[in-house]
Formats: sequence, structure tokens, C-alpha cells
Amino acid sequence: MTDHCPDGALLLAFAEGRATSEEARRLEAHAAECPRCAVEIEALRHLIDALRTAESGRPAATSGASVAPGISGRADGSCGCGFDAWAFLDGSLDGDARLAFEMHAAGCALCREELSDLMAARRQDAPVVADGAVTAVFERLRRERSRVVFRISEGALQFVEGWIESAANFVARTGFEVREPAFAGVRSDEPPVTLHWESEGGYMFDCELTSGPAGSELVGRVLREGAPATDVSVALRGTSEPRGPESVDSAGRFGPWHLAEGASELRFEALRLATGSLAVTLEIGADAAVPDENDRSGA
Amino acid sequence: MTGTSERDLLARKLVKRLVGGDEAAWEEFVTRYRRLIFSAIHRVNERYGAGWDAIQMEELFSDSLYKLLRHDARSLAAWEGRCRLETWIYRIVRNVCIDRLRRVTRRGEVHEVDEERPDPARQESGAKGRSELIDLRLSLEQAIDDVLDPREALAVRLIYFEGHTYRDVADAIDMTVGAVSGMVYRALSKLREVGGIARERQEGTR
Ligand SMILES: [Zn+2]
Ligand SMILES: [Zn+2]
Repeated sequence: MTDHCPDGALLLAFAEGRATSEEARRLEAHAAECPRCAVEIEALRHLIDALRTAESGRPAATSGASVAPGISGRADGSCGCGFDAWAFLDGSLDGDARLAFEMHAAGCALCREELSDLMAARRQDAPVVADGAVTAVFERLRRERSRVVFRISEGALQFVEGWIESAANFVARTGFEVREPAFAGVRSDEPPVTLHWESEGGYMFDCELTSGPAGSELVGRVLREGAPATDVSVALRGTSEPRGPESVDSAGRFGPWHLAEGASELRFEALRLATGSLAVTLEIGADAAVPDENDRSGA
Repeated sequence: MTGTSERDLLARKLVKRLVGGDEAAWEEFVTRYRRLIFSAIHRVNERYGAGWDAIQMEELFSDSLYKLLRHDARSLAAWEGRCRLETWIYRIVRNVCIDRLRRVTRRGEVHEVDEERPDPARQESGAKGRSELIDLRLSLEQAIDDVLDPREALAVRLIYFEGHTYRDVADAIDMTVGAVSGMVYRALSKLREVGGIARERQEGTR
């Protein structure tokens, strides 16, 4: 290069088509005279081309048996580092914290993804959802609030490959109240695992889960305060393989059982599940109600 | 401009109202965060080639908003100011999207939707197969990790892999566009020095 050669920033802008037309004219003229810069521009274009091509080689979630490793993370959606990409973007981090985040994000795909997505969300041309979608959600929320029966749902116990999720993750993911987080970090090979869930609607769910070569076994009960004059049905959902006489049905469901008006307790006896992956969801509410012929209440 | 602590206070007040069951706060929440929620869904769709159409993305928006606000916004109550509310919301929405991806993947309903998406880079690369693209990506990722400073690596990835403009990257990392351009130029020079990349690229297109 000569003393008159343009600096790297400008060469790159030109190679990427970001230069102004005036700059582009000057650079073209210069490159015609300066083989060094002509070669440099060509090399930059090759590399940029390679980078942009490689962009489509990113992990695809829809191919292969498992979702791409890049989208794993903790149950609360963070990588656990404690950094916060929005705080980085909104300028509220001091110099040291900014640097620490940059250092971390260089090696953390999840934080980079978060940063990149939040950058996109801050753009003025970010996509906008139709109002109808919002209205429908509000209506759904209002319907649920007017319900008489309290409903516990989405409370799921993940029991994956012999591990039970820690109580903290469980609560973060489901919002379920766990009064006695006795199962924090308990391994399934130290049976039995006992759980006690309590809802603000006066329902309690106790269960004991044992696991062995023959499968898992769940014993438990649902209790409710007093003897309410309401009917509810109770169902458990699992994703385990069917096994034994009390195995899950094709929809992955035990029950539903009927908890009749005036009744305050329902027992589950030795529900059997295959080993492997199991997620149990307890559903209580009018919605879980089913025709009487399917009523398998043990009462 | 609103200060950080003031914004924090506004967010806390809003969440408090939502948790307290104030329906009027729903509107305010949506006004403030609908762009963030919908944008996050679009990003997951693009990044992982989920192939969701407009209707599916609207469904995901509904699922996300419902999850955020149901049971008197319990998932927002769990926030407790431990990060920016925007980050918290984003993570919840992303989890909703990832759950959907996992369900679909498990059922095997979607295969390689990615391939059908018109992609200029892909068209240009001609017969290059997916595995070759992944190899190229991995070798570049490796080179980026090996030879670039954290900030250079971040800028290069945001611009070339994430499709952000120099302007947006400059704002994000608090530099001028010219300074980012100079830094990226130095980063690209380092990548060229480790070699193999330009050569590999040329072989790939031959
Ligand atoms: Zn020159
Ligand atoms: Zn991280």
C-alpha cells in the first residue's frame, strides 16, 4: 500500500457495498492504479462471502433427533451467568460490567443469541402482531378468572433419564408452589422421592415416586380443604411408556378421576410407569371433567 | 431520557399491578412489550428454520402472552427485579418457542423446512450441501474463537452470522460505525492470516 491508500475501514465498507457513491468512485479509481488494494478488496469479498455463506450452516432445530445444542440452557432461559443482555443494550452497565459481558458473550452462544434477539427487538422496524391476537388472550384470561374452581395445571415434574430436576428449576418453569422442596437434587436411585405440592386454591397433592428396573411407581393423594360443594375431576399426565394395569392411556393420562361434591380426598394407588422419561402434570378443575364411563375413581 | 432506576421503578410498578389482578395493566403491558414478544418469536423462527407461518407465529404470540399474564402474572411475579424485565420476558417467550420446536421435532412433523427457504447465500453457493455449510460454519467459528478478541468476535458474529447492521452493532457495543468498520477490518485480516478459509471457500465454489 502507498501513503494514499484508503484505510481498512473504508476498504471494507467498499467491499461490502456500504461506501457512499463518492467514496466508491474514488476507491474504484484507486484500485485500478493500486494492485495491493485491488487484491485486498478481492480477498475481503471472498472472506465476507464465506462468512455469509456459513451463516446458513447454523444449527437447525428441525433436523435430527435433538434440538440443536445451541438452544439448551437453564429452565429460566438464561445460561446461568447472571448477565443481562438488555441491561448491556440500554446502557445501564458501567465500563467494567460491559467488558465482562463482552468477554462472556464471546464464549457463550446462548448469551449471544439473547443479545442478538434483543437488538432486533429494539429496532423500529421490528414486526408487529395483529390486535386480534391480543384481544383473544385477554378474553381467555378473563374467562379463567371468572371460574369457580381453582385449577392446578402445568405443574410438571420432569423425571428425565433418572434425574429429577432441582426444585428451583421446577418452580421457575411452572410457577408451582412447592412448600417443602424435599426433592431438590434428589436422585431417583435414592428412592422414594416424595413431593408435596400445595396450591393457593386449598388443594394439596402428596405423592411418592419410586423407581427401579421394573419401572416407576407413583402413590399419592389429592386433598382439598373442607368438603366443598363443587365437583372436580383430577387427572395426571405422563409421557411414559404404557405399562401394567394402571398404565397411562394413549393420551399419556392417568384418570381422570372424579372428586365429587363433598369429598375431600382422592387416592392414587401404585400407578405404574415404565422407566425412562416421565413428566407428570396434575390437573384439577372443571376442564378436566370427562364422561362417567371413563370414571376410574378408586372410591 | 428516562434513567435506569426510573425505568426499573416503572417496570416494578407495572408488574405489581399485574400481580394484583389489575386488568387495566394488561393493556399497558401489551403496549410496552408486544414488539419484544413478537420479535423474539420471529427470531427463533428464523434462527432455527422452524418454518412457522404468520398464523403459527400469532399463535405463539398468544401462548406467550397468556403464559406471561395468566394466574395474575405469576411468571412475572417470579422476576423480582433480578434482571431487566425485558430480558425476563424475552426468556419466557423464547422458552415457549423452544418448547414448540421440541414438540414438533419429537413428532417429526417438520423436516428440513430450512431447505425450502429462499436464501440468497445458499443459492449463490450453488450445490453446497447442508453438511458442507455446517463444516464451513464450524471452521469459521473455530477461527473466530482462536484468533479474535472478544469484542471483535462479537461484532463479526453479530454482523455476518446474525445479520445485524453496522449501525445496530455500533449502538450495541457503544462505538461509532467507522470504528466498528475498522475493528471488523482488523478482525477479518486476522481471520485471513490463519489461512485455509479463503482457500476452502474457493475450493467450495469450484
Ligand atoms: Zn492502494
Ligand atoms: Zn451466557
